[in-house]
Amino acid sequence: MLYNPSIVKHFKQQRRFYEQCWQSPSSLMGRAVLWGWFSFCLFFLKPKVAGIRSWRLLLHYYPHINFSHPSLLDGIRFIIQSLWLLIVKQNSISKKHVNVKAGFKKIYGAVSHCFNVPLHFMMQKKNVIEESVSQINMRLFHQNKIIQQTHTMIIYLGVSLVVVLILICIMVPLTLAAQSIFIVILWMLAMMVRRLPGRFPSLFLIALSLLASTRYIWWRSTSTLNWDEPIGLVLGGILLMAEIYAWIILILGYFQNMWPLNRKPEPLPVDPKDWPVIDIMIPTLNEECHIIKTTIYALLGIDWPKNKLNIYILDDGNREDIKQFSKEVGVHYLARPTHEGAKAGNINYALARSDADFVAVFDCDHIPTRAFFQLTMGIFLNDPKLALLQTAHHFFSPDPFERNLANFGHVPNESSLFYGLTQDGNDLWNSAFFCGSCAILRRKPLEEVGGVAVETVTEDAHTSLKMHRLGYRSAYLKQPISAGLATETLSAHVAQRIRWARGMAQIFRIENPLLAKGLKWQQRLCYLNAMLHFLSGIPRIVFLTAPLFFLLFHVYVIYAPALAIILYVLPHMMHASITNSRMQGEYRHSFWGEIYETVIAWYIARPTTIALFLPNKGFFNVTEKGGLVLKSYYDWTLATPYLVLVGFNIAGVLYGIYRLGWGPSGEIGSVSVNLLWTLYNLFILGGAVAVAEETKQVRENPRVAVNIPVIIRFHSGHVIAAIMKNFSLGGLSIVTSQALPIEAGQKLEVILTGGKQEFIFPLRIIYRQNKLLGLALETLSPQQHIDYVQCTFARADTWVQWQRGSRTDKPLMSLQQVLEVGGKGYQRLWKHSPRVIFYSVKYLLRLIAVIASLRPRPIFINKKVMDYYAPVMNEHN
Amino acid sequence: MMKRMIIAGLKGGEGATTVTANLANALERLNQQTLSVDCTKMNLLRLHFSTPIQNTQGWAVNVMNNTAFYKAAYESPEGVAFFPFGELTVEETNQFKTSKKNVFNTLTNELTPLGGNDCWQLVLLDDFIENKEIYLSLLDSSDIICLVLTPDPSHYNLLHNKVFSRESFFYQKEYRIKTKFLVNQFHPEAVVSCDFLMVLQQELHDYLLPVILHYDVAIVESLANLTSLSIYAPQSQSSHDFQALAYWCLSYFSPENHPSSSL
Repeated sequence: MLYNPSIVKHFKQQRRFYEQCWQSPSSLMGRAVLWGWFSFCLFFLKPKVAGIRSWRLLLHYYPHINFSHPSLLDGIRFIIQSLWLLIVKQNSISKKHVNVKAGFKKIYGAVSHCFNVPLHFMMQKKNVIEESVSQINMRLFHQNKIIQQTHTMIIYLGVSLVVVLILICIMVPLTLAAQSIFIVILWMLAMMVRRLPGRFPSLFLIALSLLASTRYIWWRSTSTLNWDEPIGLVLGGILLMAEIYAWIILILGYFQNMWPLNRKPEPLPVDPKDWPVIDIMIPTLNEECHIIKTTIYALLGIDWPKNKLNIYILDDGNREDIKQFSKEVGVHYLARPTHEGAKAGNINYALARSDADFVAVFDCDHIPTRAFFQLTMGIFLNDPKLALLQTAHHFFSPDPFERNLANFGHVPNESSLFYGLTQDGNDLWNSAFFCGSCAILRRKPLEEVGGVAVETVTEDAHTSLKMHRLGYRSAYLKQPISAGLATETLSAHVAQRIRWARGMAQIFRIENPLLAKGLKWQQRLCYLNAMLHFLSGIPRIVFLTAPLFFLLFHVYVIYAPALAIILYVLPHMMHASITNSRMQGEYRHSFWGEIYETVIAWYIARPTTIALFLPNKGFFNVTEKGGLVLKSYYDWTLATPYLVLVGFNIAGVLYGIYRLGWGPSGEIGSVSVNLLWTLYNLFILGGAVAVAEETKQVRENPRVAVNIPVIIRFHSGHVIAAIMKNFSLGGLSIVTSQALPIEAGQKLEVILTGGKQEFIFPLRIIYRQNKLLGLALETLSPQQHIDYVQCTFARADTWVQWQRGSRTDKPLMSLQQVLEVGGKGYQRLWKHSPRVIFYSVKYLLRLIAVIASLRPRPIFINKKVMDYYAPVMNEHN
Repeated sequence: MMKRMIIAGLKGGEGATTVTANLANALERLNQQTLSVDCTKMNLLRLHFSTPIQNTQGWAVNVMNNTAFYKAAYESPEGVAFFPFGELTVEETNQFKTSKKNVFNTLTNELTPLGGNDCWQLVLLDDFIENKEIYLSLLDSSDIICLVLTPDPSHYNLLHNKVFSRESFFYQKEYRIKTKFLVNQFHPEAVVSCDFLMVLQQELHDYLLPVILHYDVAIVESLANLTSLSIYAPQSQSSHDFQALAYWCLSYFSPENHPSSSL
């Protein structure tokens, strides 16, 4: 009543501004507060303070308090913020902030410039070296004896010089200061070479990494074991063994991957009459009928003379419907009376009942593209000693990691390292091995080794080992010319890995690649790595528990000062990481291997150990594929060992924090190092825990995303151009350029191209959403089925552009992703935990959030009010 | 350089007129200048370019009456330039029949300077196979001879008995190298259509254009609506087919493909 109406109007406008900023209507309390504030401004303040209209000051100095609708704790927040503004922060430091940032940027720019300066120079040198290597005239070299002799001399001299240098670098003990200079030099060299393209820089990085790692292992074995304390010695010895194991794997891995062969398809004879006859074996046990059908349809339409193909379904499940189907489409059906030897026995049974010179093996869920044999058989015909040609396994459905972590297509999947790089690297050393599917074998060598090996549960690798021993060659094609289903659930994935691990350990005992006669040393190393790789279970568990012995039990597993540990272990890890990121980045992002390994570590530890001692025990378990996960659930059984490890690690962290604060001050360095290690382990374990939440998968036929032009034909005679977005065995989705006047349920035809021909298929509209049409296939004849598979799954180009989206690896970004996945694991664990824990944690978190909300906030002066609140408001929404 | 393309059917009814009109439209949409000439007595090309039925003007009428040739030029609402044939009286028709060869020589001479440097001249002919002598001047001056056919038994028969015969223009190498066959009215839902297409692909090889034109009701509908296909049904497959055909024409005359023609 005291105010004049124009002032009232003014106040209302100002209040509305506050409401707009917070996008919420004001409460009675808020109106009173604001009224008071506006009056205060009007009577006691200048119209503008610090360049801001005084009635708006609250928005600037109390950005976290909604004065138009104050809540209960806002009073406390107001007091805390006021005290903070009065006592701690009287001037805005936002300007300083900018300066610090700019300065940091400047320094960063200068440093990276330093690395760039020699880049050009080194690039030139690199090119000179690579060119001179490629220009060496080998014929001249072999003719001239003197050149040859001097060449050998130079090589011996060079090698001995290098060996001496390497020994010095590895073994000479350095003071900590000298060691730090040494690692800085190594690191700088790596950083400069890292960006150069080509293979020579990769080799250089490998050399640096080997140097750093070997130096670390040398230092660890000579100066970090405490010989006076038995428990520490035993535990330290175990950790050291695990580290030596990892070091060996690292070296073998470098050896295997340093020069991938990148084999290319070779041309076939022009006249198809000269093409060989092929027996195609499709072993099956209990897979669903529609999965087998797709593969058979693809094979029936494959580009190869029909009279030179014999397709055999090897049904170990003796199923009537499969037999019926094989009769319908005219392929051979073989069912054994007995089922010994599992898949290997099944193939051997069929081998005895067929006679073509070449045998192709496909798992029943691997669909070959139509060009499969045209791209592969040329290699066979050009090399009579070639016994095996393996092609990449490519999966078009997400594996459990991709599905449960929802990163299908963003992060290279678990198998792509092996099929993209490792096998290709093996190929250089003539030791690419059989993977059980999508491969062609020559019958003669296969029969010479007694058919597919039945002594071990990984019959595939064992068979190729036997053939390599007889001097036959193998080849590998990494082009994706077939595609299959990945394992459905994590437990199936783990079961599959258990089988592989057990089988590899069995081969290691029965036919040890190091001792077996007939192999070249390169082949020995490649097979050795393949087998040792699966012994990673125990070392992995050792790494996950090692720091706990120090944190919980005061045992010095690494008997060295913290600083020394950092100075030695850091280059070891950094260089391994940089080098692997460069070599494998396209096929595996950094740190993801840790999660993949951790998940199976516990489960393969026991079977591999048993198989090492009792190689003849064990059975063959079939990997289930193409199933459904009807409801999301948490696989507690599978995750139990990791939950136990998580428990220990959390205990370790808590006790470590206690020791940090209240323990003896001399231990702080060691405690912090071990704490960091444990925290990292916790995140990795979190990743393993996250994967155990099985996301539901309700679609029976996994869809394959594509972008292929197709034609829709309506019964009215209208023909419309469209784009196929995805397809599955049951139907497809298409997008038209405009929404069409049609309804769900309507029937139409879709014309797909396969090669030069066009094929037409009857479909029904299942759903329609604007321009997107979901279509289901109507009943098709067998020939139409064949055509459909040829136009979709078996197209030669379907998988070529597949998953090429985000293939580059950035180690730090990848680390962040892995840590996020780890965090997600604990979130999921909490979500699935018993009610009591769920709610207590929930309220605890809420309490922490409330307390945290009382903290003072930075104020903003230079920005416009609306600019500042816009993002805030979005958060609130 | 001007590019002259002769478009003709084997027996009539293959849709050569439709192809001419829609190809002209598609080329215009790629910012190409075109000039279409109807040389068929039916005088139907004008229908595709939205000319009123009452209009009986045309270049043949002008030539018969010694009126200036260029006065018969029209432009469609989409901006495509074309010469309708015109509706001849009985007397004019008889006169046309007797002096056919001269008329087409005149036509060739009149056309050559028209349309500027990069213009596409699409010339639609009828009774082409049997009467190649009449069209010799046009044939000699053309860059592509595009024969439209539908994948069916009668066209297959004509192909073997007429086109591949010793008397045919196709027998002469200088004509053969610029001949292309274009499949129109392809019915993917009909097995017989697919089979004949496959046979044609096998036998004609590179003489067959890679673009196959699908049968589409939208073509007839656009004609009934007196508008072009690309406006009436832009998302129809036929519209895409003609676009593809236009692109093929461009790539056929691109310097990389045809070093001699760029000179």
